[in-house]
Amino acid sequence: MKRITSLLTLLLFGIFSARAQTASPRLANYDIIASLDPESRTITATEILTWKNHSNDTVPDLRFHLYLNAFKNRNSTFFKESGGQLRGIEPEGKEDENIWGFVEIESMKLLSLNGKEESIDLTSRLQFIHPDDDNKDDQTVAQILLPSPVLPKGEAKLEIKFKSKLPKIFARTGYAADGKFFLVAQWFPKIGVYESPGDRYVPLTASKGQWNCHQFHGNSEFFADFGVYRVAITVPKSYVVGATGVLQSQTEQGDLKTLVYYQEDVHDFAWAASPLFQVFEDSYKSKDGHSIKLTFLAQPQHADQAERHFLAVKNALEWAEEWLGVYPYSSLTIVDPAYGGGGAGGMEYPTFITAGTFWKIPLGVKTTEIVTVHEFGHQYFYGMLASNEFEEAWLDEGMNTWLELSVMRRYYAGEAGKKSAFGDKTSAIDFLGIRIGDVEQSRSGYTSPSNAKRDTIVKPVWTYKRGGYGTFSYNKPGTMMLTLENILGEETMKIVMRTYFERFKFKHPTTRDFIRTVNEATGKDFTPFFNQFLYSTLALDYAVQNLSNSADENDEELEGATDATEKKQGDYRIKVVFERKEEAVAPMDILIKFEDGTEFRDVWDGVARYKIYEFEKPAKAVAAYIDSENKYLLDVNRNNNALTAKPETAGFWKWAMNAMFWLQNFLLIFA
Amino acid sequence: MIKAIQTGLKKAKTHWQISALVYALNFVFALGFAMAFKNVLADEFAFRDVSRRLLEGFDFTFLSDMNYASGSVTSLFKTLNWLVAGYILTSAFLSGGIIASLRREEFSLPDFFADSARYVGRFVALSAFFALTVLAPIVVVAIFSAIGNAMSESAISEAPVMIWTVVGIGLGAITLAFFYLAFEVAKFEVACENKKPFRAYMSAFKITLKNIASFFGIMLAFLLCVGVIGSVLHLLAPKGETGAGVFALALMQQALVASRVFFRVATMGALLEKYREVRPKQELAETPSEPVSETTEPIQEPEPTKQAPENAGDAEIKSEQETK
Ligand SMILES: [Zn+2]
Repeated sequence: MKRITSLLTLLLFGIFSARAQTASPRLANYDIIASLDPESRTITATEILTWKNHSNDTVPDLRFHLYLNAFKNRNSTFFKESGGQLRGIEPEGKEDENIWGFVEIESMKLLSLNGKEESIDLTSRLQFIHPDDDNKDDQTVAQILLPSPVLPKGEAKLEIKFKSKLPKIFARTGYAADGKFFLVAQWFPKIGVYESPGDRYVPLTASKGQWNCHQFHGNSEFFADFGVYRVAITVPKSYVVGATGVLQSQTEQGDLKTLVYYQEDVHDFAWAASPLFQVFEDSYKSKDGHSIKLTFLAQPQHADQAERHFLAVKNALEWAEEWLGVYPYSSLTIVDPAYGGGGAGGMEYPTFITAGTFWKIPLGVKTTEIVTVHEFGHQYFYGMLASNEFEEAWLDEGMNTWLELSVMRRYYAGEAGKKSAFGDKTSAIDFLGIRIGDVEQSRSGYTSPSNAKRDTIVKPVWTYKRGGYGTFSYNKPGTMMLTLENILGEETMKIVMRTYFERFKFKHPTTRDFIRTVNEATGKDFTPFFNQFLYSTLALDYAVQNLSNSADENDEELEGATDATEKKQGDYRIKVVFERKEEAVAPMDILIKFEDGTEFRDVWDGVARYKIYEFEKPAKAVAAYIDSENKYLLDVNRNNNALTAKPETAGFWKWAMNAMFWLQNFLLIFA
Repeated sequence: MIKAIQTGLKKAKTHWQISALVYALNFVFALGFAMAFKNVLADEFAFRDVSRRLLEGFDFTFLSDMNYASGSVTSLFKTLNWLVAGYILTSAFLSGGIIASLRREEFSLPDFFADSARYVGRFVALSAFFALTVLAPIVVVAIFSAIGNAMSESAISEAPVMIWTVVGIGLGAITLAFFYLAFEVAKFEVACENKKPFRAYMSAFKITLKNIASFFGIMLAFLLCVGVIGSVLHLLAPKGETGAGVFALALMQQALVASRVFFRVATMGALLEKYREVRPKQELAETPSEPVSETTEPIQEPEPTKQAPENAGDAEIKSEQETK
């Protein structure tokens, strides 16, 4: 007995100490019972929310995201910002059809407050607010004033009964395939993040914290606290379900079935249900030895692509565990959206992602892999490193673009691609002679002429100029991170990124946190680098402006001589001019090659407009290069980074001959 | 059909000068474009160590940086429009000579150009009609993609929609090929029957429709020859990663273009042969009464065995029909 008691004590101690060391703070915990009626495209649910006030403030109100209301009509902020379309997809169908979506809170009851049981109906206290704009029609954020505040370190427990009508999918969430496919995201009332002084950008000196609960915007939707989710989902028996977390139980009642999913230390919950899904399973052994169950819910016409999806995820997992840290969850579900549900594809939710492919997609078109790798990458940048996507989208999308580019380059660039300047020439497309690397493609998204200097990276996502979101949240930061990696070298970059991950996983890191981490981990001050590329619109463009080999003035007759080796020292006066053409400044590797095989290398601080090197040598200079190690992918024009003494045109002839050949064939249509 | 194909091949061989002329025309126009294309690159990048990159093949970063620096890459194609227009006009001009020459036993350059000059007005008009008929396949593709779209409303898979689209494009291509054949036959109607362009096109439709199988057969047979040669050359083609390699590659490309031209002339010869065989008899009676002004033009050089070109085809047809 005693022995048992001590065992029990040990066990309890174990539980408590484990609880004290949970991966995340678990401030927002959900217990949801939901039932899907495919006919009416409606979910009826009851949610028990337990919210912990981690601050030292007394918090008088609670704020909720009611994001399904973004799809309520054309007046929501999301609808106005997105222009009623996302990635070119518009809501289809007549207004009177079932195309709209909304969430309706039927009742909200306070079950307990600061440890004391209550039973107070709060429904009538609910009101919509618009913290980001003055759009009175936007109903994506609600506030509720509590009868008495949540005390410092206190806790509020609420019961919320709600109904979610799902929209016809045009963006992110809803139904498609005539009700045979449901992607259920942003579907439940979700509490905002209360930030106390010292959290993120709330000054330590502030007298009080504040809610951070943005409206649903055209381009961003994620910022939430971690917690534990237990969600019971009831669907018709014929529906296959995939969801965040691990399936705990499955029971059947007549024509229906109920599946219970559970996941700790995540900040959202999404699920999918469809009778069309074909289920594929695989697993991956994490670096720490635990097994990760991989599930691919495929459309029947994509069943032959299961391996492509699994391989993409395994590649990304291997890379991420090497460069960042262990994937701690034990599941990952990949959903292949139904035809017509593509607007819900390419999205990330904790341990649950949506991909996107098409029938018989050629192996050389690697968008399937790119999307899968990208969305998986969000398990790190968004999932565990839960930055504020509204205010600093690049920490999610830009960092994750870097992950995507790195994985695609490493596993899909091929041998030829790896030898090229960016180490990638084929990882996006290698089809019919067209070869484009994902790295190249992303960089060009930034360096296209209208975009490069249009906006800064760090700014609230809804304030980007039109079209700027993709360029400045994905392409430029992705290119910047690769540049940083080139500057630091692979090993230092790994140290930086592992440190960043270890320090900030299950937290809400900011740009400032990242810069501090870089500076600390490298022992160097990279603030000027980030100031230029994150906080300003300055572009970077260095060029070799001139290269001349002139014979010595008192030895003019040598000019026409062909054999340089016969000449005396000082036979040639060589002048090479390097130029900074744009406003951004960075140290540049200089390389000058001479006829006799010798090389001159230097590092120019890049500050002045011009840098001139002069030599008196017996051998002519044959070529000069700036950024000779191809570090600065951010350089908006790399075609001017080299200058040779002699012209070389064979490559131009090749392209001209190819173009001529195609033209000749075209002309023969007309005889 | 086999006989027509054989005749076409024989004609292309004995009248090799036609192929040479067409190839030369094609080469000169395309070279004009290629030179301009190369110069745009060389003027800007000859000293930029870019050639080396382009020798390796498609270089997306080069293009995107060129686009950044000069605002677009369309400067590479600035000569394209007028070159294509010039080529179409010139080839319309040469068509008359080609068809008239194919009807003769011997090739003669003065005859060739005289015939070219004689038919140029009507052949340009025919080309314009052909350009209009190119819209028809577009309509076909549009109809099919509309059906595909309608299907997609209730579809649960993109596969049938994609198949439908591919079928639409395929049918569009067949429609285009049909109009193309009719265009060729219309040329014969002008050259052999001295018809006005529109009437020629109308009767060409009828003739082509009636003989669609053999006309398509002829076209496909020669396309197959080009396909085989193209595949062999493709297997043998060097990568072109050095100056010499580029030269060798260009030579092989030109060999393929030259063979295409040869089979193109053979196709015309074979179609002409088939056309003579199948041309409706009632058309023969109508021919003399056709009020075509060109009939009054002096006949430059009568073919050795015939009195006049207008009657030449008739004579041959008659004799062929007799032997059937
Ligand atoms: Zn993303």
